Amino acid sequence: MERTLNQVLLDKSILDEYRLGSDKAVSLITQIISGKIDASISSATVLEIWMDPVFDRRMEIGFAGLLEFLREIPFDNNCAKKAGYLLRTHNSMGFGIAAVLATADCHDLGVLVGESNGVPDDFDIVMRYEDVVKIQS
Amino acid sequence: MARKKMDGPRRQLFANIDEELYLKLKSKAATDRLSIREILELALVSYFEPDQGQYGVQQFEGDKGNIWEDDEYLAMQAERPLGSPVELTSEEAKRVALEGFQWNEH
Repeated sequence: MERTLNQVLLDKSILDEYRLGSDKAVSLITQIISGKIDASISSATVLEIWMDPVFDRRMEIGFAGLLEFLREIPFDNNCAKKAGYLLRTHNSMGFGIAAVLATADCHDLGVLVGESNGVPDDFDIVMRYEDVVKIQS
Repeated sequence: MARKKMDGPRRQLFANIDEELYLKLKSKAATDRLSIREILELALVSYFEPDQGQYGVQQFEGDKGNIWEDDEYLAMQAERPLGSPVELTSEEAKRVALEGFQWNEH
């Protein structure tokens, strides 16, 4: 799959790292907010953010603002079936990343994951911060 | 545009103004989420200090303070329970997305 920054799906790890102030995540999200990168978010990731035990009112408002700059990609039945298959075949995979990978596969998008996400390397749709820098240069 | 909290001594002002101007003012206040008081203060600042036209705007737009303390609307929203509806203008959305997280609070 050709890697492009036009339309990437963000994994929750990116948003967690942004919330905590990681330089790479801040640089990336700032570019998204300024319109330099067109990024999307799966509604399954929105669910993950809103169910996080650390979630508080300020985070809720902050993420509500950030969502205005992200295209929402619905997690529909096709995505659910693919996510179910991934979870059945990859024992160590979490629900969140399975949902994001499945959503990206359904909608022909790349997935951008943060440093804290240990998604297996055999998914060629997965991109990391370094890939963003490479593509931009 | 962010709403600044009132500080310093205040005086009340009463005046009958042109209705058309008043309606425009009310509409602009709703659009920009500013109080009529804030718009009047901005107008008065630019009347008295025309050479410092940006002064008034900067006063409201920001000194990069803590948005949860400096912005009346956001401060009020932050006090509401989790899950309460929140409506953000595009400017407020950008501001909370960039400055609303703990690592970026001043």
